[in-house]
Amino acid sequence: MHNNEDANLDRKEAPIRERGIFVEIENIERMKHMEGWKTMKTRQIIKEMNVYRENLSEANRALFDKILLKVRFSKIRERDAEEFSYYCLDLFLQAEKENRSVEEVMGTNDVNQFCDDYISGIRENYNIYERMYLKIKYVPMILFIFVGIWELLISYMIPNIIAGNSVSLDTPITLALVIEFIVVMFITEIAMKYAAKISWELNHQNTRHTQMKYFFIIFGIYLLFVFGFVGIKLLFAKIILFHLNFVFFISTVAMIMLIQDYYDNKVVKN
Amino acid sequence: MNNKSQLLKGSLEGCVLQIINLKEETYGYEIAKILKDNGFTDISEGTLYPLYTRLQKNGLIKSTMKESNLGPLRKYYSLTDAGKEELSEFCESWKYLTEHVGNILGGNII
Repeated sequence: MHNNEDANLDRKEAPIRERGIFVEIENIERMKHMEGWKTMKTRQIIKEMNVYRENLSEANRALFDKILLKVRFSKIRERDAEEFSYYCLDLFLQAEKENRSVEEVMGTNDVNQFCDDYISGIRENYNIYERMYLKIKYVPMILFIFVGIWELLISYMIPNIIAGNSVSLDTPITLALVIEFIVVMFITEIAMKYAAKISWELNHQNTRHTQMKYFFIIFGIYLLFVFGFVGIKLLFAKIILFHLNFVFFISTVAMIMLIQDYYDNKVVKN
Repeated sequence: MNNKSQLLKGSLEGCVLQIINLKEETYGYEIAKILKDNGFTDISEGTLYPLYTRLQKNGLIKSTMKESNLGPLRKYYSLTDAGKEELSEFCESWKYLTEHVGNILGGNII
């Protein structure tokens, strides 16, 4: 019978030796012979990947990271992204053991095509509601962080409390806030498209040129944001569309995010 | 994609079920290797993994995690009873198809 507690994976500091020699992992308690992934939580999969990817050669690790980032930033469930990455890690390790190239094992030289095949294949398994949900899955997070915490709490309620003004929990939703929310949604969508590529380049092609390139791009976007949002606030901050109870809003959005987390990490039944 | 690849892809699910059936319990890397060694040279793991997920979701195969000497746990697949039924139906359909298509292509038409 299986223990339903999560296995602990404590990675003590271990020297990474020459390629081909495994990183030593102390105090591992893992489930042996688990059925499905029932007791293996997503965060444990991620922990193990972080450990075992160190056993790959530098070139294969870079390739693996490309796959990892691409599937993580795609519009699929988090669980599906992590499971596939974990599976790829095993393939890569197997290929190295048999002295085969990972391209041969993957069945293609084109990493992007490889990932696209998986992403389109796994999305075929989703029903229409799942696909629609995955298109907008960042909305609750943006509502919570940007609207709830940043705009309503930090930019409106706290300054008013500090100034000694009376503050009601019914916070005003202005036209400026709605426009800013739409802009943030748009920027997030674009950022998700390039995040994998930028993250990979900063990790594996971290030259001075790359650093400077992304520094100027991100600084430029930051300036655009600042000036843009100041302009929006100056023009539209006084137009109040409706009022929203802050506690109700934050707790509703938080609950949606919890449900999302559950769905994103739900295990496929056997 | 040429005709051969399309035809092979159409029979992929049945072939995967049969490989799992013959091996009784096997894992993704081994399934892919057998497919590649038996004509499916263009097949990519990116295409296969969602297939395993779909077969599992539909109750045709089940998985068991086992330790491997490489580190990450490995998912081993085996057929369920529903999977065996599905495989049997696929084999019948395939036999029917190849017989009749073979007749037509061989000029043996009524």
